[in-house]
Amino acid sequence: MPFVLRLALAAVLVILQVAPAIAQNESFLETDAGMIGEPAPVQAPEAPDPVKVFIDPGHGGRDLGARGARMELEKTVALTIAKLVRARLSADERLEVTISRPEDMDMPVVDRINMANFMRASVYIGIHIDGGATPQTHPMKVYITKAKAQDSATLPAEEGAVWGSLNKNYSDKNLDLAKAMVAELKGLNAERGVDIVRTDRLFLGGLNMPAVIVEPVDLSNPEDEMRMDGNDFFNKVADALSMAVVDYLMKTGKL
Amino acid sequence: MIKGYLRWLLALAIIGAAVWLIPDPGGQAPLPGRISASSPTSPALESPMRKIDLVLYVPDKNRAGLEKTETWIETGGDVSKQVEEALKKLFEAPMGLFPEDTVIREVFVYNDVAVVSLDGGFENKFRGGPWTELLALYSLVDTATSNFDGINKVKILIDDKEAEALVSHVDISGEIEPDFSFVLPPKDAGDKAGKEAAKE
Repeated sequence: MPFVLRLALAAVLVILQVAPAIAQNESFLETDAGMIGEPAPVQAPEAPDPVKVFIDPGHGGRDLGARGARMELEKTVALTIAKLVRARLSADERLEVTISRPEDMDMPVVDRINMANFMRASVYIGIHIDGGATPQTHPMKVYITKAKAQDSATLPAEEGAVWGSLNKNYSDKNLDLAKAMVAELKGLNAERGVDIVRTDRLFLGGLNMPAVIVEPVDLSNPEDEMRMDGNDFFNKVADALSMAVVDYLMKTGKL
Repeated sequence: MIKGYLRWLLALAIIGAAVWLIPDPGGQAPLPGRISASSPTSPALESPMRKIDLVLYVPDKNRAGLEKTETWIETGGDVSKQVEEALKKLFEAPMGLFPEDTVIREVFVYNDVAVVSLDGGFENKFRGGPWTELLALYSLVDTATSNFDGINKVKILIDDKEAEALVSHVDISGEIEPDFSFVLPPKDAGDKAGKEAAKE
């Protein structure tokens, strides 16, 4: 092939490679200082990492949980409330909300705890419902682990700890979170009231974050049963729990 | 020959008198109140029946907490048998949270632990959530530990096996110590003990 022809072919190839970049106003000459001939791009401030919230509706699948007089099931009521809470909190872009079980499915407690720890959630909200043989009412409950002894050292973050006492590292934060829950839940039924109960027997010990279990409904209580007939009640419970989470995160500077 | 016969008679009379005079440990009057788990125990068939005063921990009518109820049982046997009878009385209590027909498979005691094996059939009849299940647990544990000296903890088995939860909420792993914070104070005694003052 003559030299001139080869030169022309090479020129065509180069033009074909470079033309798109020119068309997009891009430079293919880049240095550490930036693009030659272009102003340095203004970097947008990075959005802070979202705060992770873990919502855990109790039971599911073959595990029915408590049962009401009309055979309402704890697993169903807890899941409904959890989904409504997730919908509210997910609307806030600062939050990343995870639900342990999005449907009626079996899920061992150990898997729920591991999931919450693995995703390094900032807060754990367990949702359970009471029931029983007697229809009389008693206060709503918010459960947290017992405070660790004053003289005990900070407990290590044990790998794989499930029923351990890891959560006792968060005694003060647990109480703050529980108080935020009480402040919102009491509006649902002022006469009934809300108790904070400390116990190490509700599978909260292995959670490596501030954690509460809330029990806002009693399936065996006729008043609660009647209120559950309307969607308004579920929405009010979800409002209360969502606002409590946001209040707590704001007070602790996470939001 | 006659003197030898008399000597034998005299010896038999002395032995008989000695046997008659030595006190029978099993015939002593029982002490009222708490029963010692560390004292020597004897098989049930050989132990006399006796009355034992009990304090049962049962929920109040609103299930707001546990209340003390005084009662008694009449039973023989060792402390394991006595604990079993006490728990049967608890399950029969009108406000009790365990179904009345809850079956106790076995109770045995080692060191300061009472091991209580429940038949799993009660789980199907138990309808409670976390609060009701906690009250059920501590009604059992507080009753077993507060009535019998030397029993400080309870281990619960379901169908003779270790179980994760009593029904579906409450962790029953390990040996469980009593928790009297679930016991309501006497009605005229101010705020609830052992709980955060959260009711508003």
